[in-house]
Amino acid sequence: MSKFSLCLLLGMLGFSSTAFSQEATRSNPFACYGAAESLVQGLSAAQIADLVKSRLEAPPSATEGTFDAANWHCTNGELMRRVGDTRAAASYAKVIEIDPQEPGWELWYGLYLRNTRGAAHPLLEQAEVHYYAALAKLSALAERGAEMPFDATTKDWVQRGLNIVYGEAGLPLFGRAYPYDGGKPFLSVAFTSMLRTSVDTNEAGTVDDVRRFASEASFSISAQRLNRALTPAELEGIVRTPLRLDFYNRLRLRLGQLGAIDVSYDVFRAYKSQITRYTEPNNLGDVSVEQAGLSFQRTLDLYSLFDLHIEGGYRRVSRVGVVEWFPDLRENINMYEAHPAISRFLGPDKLTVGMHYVFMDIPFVPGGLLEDRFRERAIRAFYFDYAFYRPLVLPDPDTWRLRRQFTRGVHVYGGYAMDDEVWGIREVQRRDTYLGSTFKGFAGFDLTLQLTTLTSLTDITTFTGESYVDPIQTNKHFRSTAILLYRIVDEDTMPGMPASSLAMMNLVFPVRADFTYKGWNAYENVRAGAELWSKFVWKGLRGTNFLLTAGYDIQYFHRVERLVHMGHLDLRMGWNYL
Amino acid sequence: MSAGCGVEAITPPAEPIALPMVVSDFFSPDGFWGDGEKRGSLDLQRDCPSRAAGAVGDCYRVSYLPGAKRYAGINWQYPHNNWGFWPGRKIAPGATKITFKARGAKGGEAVGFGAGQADDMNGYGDSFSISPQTLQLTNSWQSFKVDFLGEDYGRSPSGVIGAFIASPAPGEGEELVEFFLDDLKWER
Repeated sequence: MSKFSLCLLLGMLGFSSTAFSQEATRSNPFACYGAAESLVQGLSAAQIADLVKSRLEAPPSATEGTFDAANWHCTNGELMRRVGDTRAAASYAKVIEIDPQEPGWELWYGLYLRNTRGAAHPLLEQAEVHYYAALAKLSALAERGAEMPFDATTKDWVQRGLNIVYGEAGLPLFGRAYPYDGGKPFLSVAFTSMLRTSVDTNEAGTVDDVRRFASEASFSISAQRLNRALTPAELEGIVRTPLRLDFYNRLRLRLGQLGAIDVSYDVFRAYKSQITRYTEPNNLGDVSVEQAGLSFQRTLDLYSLFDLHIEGGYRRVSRVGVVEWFPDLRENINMYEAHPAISRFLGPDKLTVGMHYVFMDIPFVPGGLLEDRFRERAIRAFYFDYAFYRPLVLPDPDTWRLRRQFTRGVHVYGGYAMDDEVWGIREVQRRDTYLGSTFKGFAGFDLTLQLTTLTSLTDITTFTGESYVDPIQTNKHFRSTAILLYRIVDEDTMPGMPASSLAMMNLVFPVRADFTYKGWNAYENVRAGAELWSKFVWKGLRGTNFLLTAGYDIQYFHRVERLVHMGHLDLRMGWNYL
Repeated sequence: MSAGCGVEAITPPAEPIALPMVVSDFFSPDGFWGDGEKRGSLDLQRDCPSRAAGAVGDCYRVSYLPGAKRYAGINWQYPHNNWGFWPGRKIAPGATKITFKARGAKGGEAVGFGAGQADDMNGYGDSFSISPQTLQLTNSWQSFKVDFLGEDYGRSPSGVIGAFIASPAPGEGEELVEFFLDDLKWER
């Protein structure tokens, strides 16, 4: 039994007797979860599905009381939820129809929509309807003096649910703020602010150091630049860990059921990070980037087909320091992006398929050869995540005896990314392929194992229109990664608002090794580190969520005998990615 | 040049290249020689503090701190860094001169200007060679020309590899030679 389940059962048992003694017409809605939890103990997914089937074939008689009838449907919903049966939504709706006064039924429906449904993101707009309905019903009960002790728990859990779905929005400026009193607002505005600092071989969000360094070295070596081998000092000098600063700010607007509209502004600086001319590969310049963005996102329930997440936006990017030979050139770039995803249950498991598309309309370089001036970049990435939510026979973390139990999911995931960038007659094609698995939540640990290939080739077009691949500028690498995460403070075991401001703390140990199987192998390396991820919920500041992440890594490039120490510190009020 | 949702490289300009030809559009200052073979002595940047009036193409700032060899130069080549390993570019016949504007950082700088990369020991070479002619610069923009003097650049089937040469002449001491070059063209 998970800590979450134990917490639920204790809540239910603790309050039920009081509930019956105070108001016979209102029983404890937590009974629904507890009943389902006890029914599924030791059962396989198929057995749970059979149980649902048999229960539906024997519905309660019409003479049964309101609570019993509602609880029967709610228990069905909870059983269906555990085996990916999306008829759960109809069951929860039926519960509310039967017993419209009870706030707890709204809680369960909201929890289902937030925690179980959605495609890469929760069904936020649908979930908040039920969470706010629960709060409204709680207020109505309070006004009538008909509160029960378990209502406080219901309220606490509802507030927690809302706090989680709004957490990434940061500081609520207007509407939708803890403690979420006064009904569901039509308009709300929240402010996100993130400060990220790092000294690292990679920029935040990128992982391709081995390929990038190899590509830089091979372009320097190529006939288009030095047309000679690099010296050991030049090779070593390409490995660099520049200081990077990133300050991101965003206003998030929510309008009714419309979704989230984001207006953002980002300032990025990287000092001595960019090779300014590849004839001198250790000559480094500063990079500065400012981005103003407008984007939209919404997750939709399109069942019986799937849940759909739509997200798209536009960014105006202004950057200096990226164009070779023109270290002071400011480029103004129009950037368009889309990030759709769909999810569907396959039995008890959940498949999510999504893509990322980014197109950068980059202005011509104002000088140099005509055929070198044209610039464009497009990134197309596809991914899948198959989450096994079925109960698995595993050792009990306390007794180490084998038993069938629910997990937080065993994920098998993979993806393929195509990043094509054009410099005039040259098209650089970068490809990432990855396949991995994460086993979540065993005795407080998550373990991720991943295999990745990172490749790059340069295709050059001749004046006849034919093209050829430059063998010198082709490189291919293989990466193996292991990440162990330990939950010191486990957020998932806190169904209500956290007692202290510390809501989560994880200790993470990433380890990886890069091997080159084609092309320039100077940058093969091993890397290991330790990171601390923590989350704080400041109830006194309208329930604002803060993330504090700190990490230290060490990386050794054995072929160039270069050891680098790296660190990062991120402070985020809300977030736009994790 | 988008292809669907992706991108597509462009095709190089068609040949022969018509006259007048803006040299920086078709040839690149990649061929460093003499003291320029090692980093730190000879440098070229595309960041002139001011342009010559009516100039087209790139403007270059060239600086030379004399090294051990006490001579240096830059060839404008096609393709990049081509020391005769690949064919060059075909240019329409009829050009009689190379025109450009130049000025020194201080005034008084001596710089040789020429064209052609006739050495074919790596397989390809130009059919013409105009040895650098030393000119004295002032600290304001002046127009200059280098005549072909009957040299036929069209005889080589591999086209033109080296379209221009700039070779700063050092003084007696270790003094930095810095000059600016703009509006570089082949003309009839």
